[in-house]
Amino acid sequence: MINARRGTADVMNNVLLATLPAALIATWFYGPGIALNLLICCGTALLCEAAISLLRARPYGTTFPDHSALVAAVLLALCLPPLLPLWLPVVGTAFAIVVGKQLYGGLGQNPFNPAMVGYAALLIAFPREMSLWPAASGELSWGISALLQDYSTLNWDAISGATALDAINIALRADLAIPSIALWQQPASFVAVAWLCGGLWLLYRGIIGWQIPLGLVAALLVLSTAFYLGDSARYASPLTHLLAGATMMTAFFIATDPVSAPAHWQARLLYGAAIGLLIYVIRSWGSFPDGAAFAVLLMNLCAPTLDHLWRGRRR
Amino acid sequence: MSRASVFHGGVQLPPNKVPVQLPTARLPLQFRYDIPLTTRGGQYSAPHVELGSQVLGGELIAGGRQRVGVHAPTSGTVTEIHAEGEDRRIVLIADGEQRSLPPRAALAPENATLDDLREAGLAGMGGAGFPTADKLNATQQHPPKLLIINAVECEPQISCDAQLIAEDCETLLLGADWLRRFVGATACKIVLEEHNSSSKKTLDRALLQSGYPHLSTVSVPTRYPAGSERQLVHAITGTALAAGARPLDAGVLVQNAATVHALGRWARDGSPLTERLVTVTGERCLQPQTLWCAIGAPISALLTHAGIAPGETTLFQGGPVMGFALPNADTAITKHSQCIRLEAPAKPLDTLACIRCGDCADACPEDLLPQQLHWQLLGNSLPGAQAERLSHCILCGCCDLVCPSNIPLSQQFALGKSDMRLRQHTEQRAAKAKLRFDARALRLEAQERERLAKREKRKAGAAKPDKKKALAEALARSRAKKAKPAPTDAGQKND
Repeated sequence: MINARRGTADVMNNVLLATLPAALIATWFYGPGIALNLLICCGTALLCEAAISLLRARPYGTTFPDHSALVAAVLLALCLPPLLPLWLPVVGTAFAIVVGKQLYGGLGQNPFNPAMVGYAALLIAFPREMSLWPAASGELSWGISALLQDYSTLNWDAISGATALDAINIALRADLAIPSIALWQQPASFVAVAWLCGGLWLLYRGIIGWQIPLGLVAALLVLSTAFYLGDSARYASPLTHLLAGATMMTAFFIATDPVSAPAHWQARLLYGAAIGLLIYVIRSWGSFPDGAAFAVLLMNLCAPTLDHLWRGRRR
Repeated sequence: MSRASVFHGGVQLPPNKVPVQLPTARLPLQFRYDIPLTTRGGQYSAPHVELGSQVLGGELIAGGRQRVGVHAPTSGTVTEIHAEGEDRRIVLIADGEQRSLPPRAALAPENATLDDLREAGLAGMGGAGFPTADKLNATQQHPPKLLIINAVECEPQISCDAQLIAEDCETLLLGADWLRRFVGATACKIVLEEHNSSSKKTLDRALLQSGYPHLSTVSVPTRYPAGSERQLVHAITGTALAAGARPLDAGVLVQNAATVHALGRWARDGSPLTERLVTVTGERCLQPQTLWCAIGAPISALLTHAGIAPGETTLFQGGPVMGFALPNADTAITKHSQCIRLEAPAKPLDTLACIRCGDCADACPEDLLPQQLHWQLLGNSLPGAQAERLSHCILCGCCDLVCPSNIPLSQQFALGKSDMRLRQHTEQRAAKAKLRFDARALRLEAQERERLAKREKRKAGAAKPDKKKALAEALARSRAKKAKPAPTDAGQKND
């Protein structure tokens, strides 16, 4: 028997492996809450998959070995702040797997990226909890002690700090000059570099194509440079846009999900660029500090149209 | 002598070729031969013999106008003729004396016609089985510039062409130059796979000695499906064939090496196509080898000759990619049976959902997006699949080989293609029927007009000579007018 293929499970395992640097760095900076989120999300995802397989009378063995639910769970968990009440990751993951994926028919049938469906649902339903990112720490003990505190008596303001994008968003909406941010003091920058490393490894392994990350980063870079050169007091620097928030994760891990992306390489380039454009628009003129999830979901909606427009074209 | 450029996609497969062994073995004389009368493409040859006819080896036993000739592989008696239905064949019981027709003198290409080639029984031996004369028909009006002899056995395991070149490359070269002169090509390239360097060496040495100035050898990368006609033309000429274009539109004729060898034999001494090289191999085969088999020899005899290992076995005809399972060993060797494989039963692979990863698009040599085709066909949308260029799929199976979810894509595409052909056929018939109906309606209308005009004319003609009657009528009318003032119009009573 000839075998020139890599299994779907191999693909998913490679993606899981590539998230490892970002997971480790995030845990280092934000405390064990991140690791706890990961565990909760993965467990919930597997349970949801099993339950749906049971309901649909499908053998669990044929859907489980693809590991795609784990990928969605890990990506969602790594978007969540570490101090969330423990039931929120459960709600988010269940929403992602059940509504975002299985209700559409399971693997390969979902029009939207499941992890982003779960994240967007949490962000809209629980905006306060979802914006509680602790200030830069780098000490493990801090994360543990914060976790052990009772949520009801927790002094939020004492431990949480605004992320770079929060600060920019507040300044933009108040029509003030944006604060200057030292990127090397932001833990998010280091996590972004970790995402970039994992993403480059996926590119090297041929798990993802270059078109979507290139389109996304290029569009974001061009737009942010243009506006930054026009008015550097009102618009954040291109580097801030690349390293803050979920840019790198979106470029290499979220937007590249082939199920919800168009198929032709030219369409993929355009799709990536459109996500980059939407991220910039939402960040600069929208009410959410980071627009990556909404940008991806909006473009997921356009993928079938892009496929239709590129129907039957040669490369 | 050069290295060819590369086509898009394809899959790197381990060659696993059956090694060339000299001298070439030959399947011993069999008691019974089931000689097929079917040519691929639904053509049947009509029997020329009767029950009980005594025939010699090489004698024409079936054929007919525009039909491929079928010849007796050895001397014997015709005991059964199945000239109806799907499985048409002539059964010959060998008499063991192996008498055959005397050889004729060598024939020059200038003196040969397409009908001669058809009668010689030549059909594509690379797996398509298409009648060679029909393929060459188009070259009469448009002589190709380049003739490509396809000795690229891109499917793993098969090594008929390598064995052929090792054993008898003189006849192959003779056939190649004969065909080149016959179709009027200026150059002829014999194409081999890069890994098959020993065949290339043999050919190059023979070319140096024999002095065919128009012949040369070329290697293409060892990548499936390099031996497919369109990919081969792309690799050799450097330009991809346009959608739906045949190689001849680019001035290229591609012929399989085994067919050209059979042609060379026939040109030299008139011996028709009655045997071919067959590779018998597989996990359950004790002595994998490539051997001469008469057309019509039972596959079971071939298996006994090569030896079957114990254990459960599945029988296949063709290579591991394009091949198909045979229900039993009762069928016979045909002109396009390249390879018989005895394999251990494969574990059925679990098919998972498509994740649109695009591996299939990277592997597709026709530059399609198989994942999009898959979705269109899942949605039963033939127009959508056609917009994704379903008709350009060559069914090579590269997408199946790389799909991480083990989806049998090419099987789905083959079904889609046949559905599409059926639909096109129905549409064409409907369009034709409409044309016929419209033409009939027009014809009837014209006939009716003609009839009326004739009647009118006859009436006018009949009215003229009878002047007295007309006068009397006119008088009567005027009298009536005077009597009754209401006017009557006698002239417009018709219509």
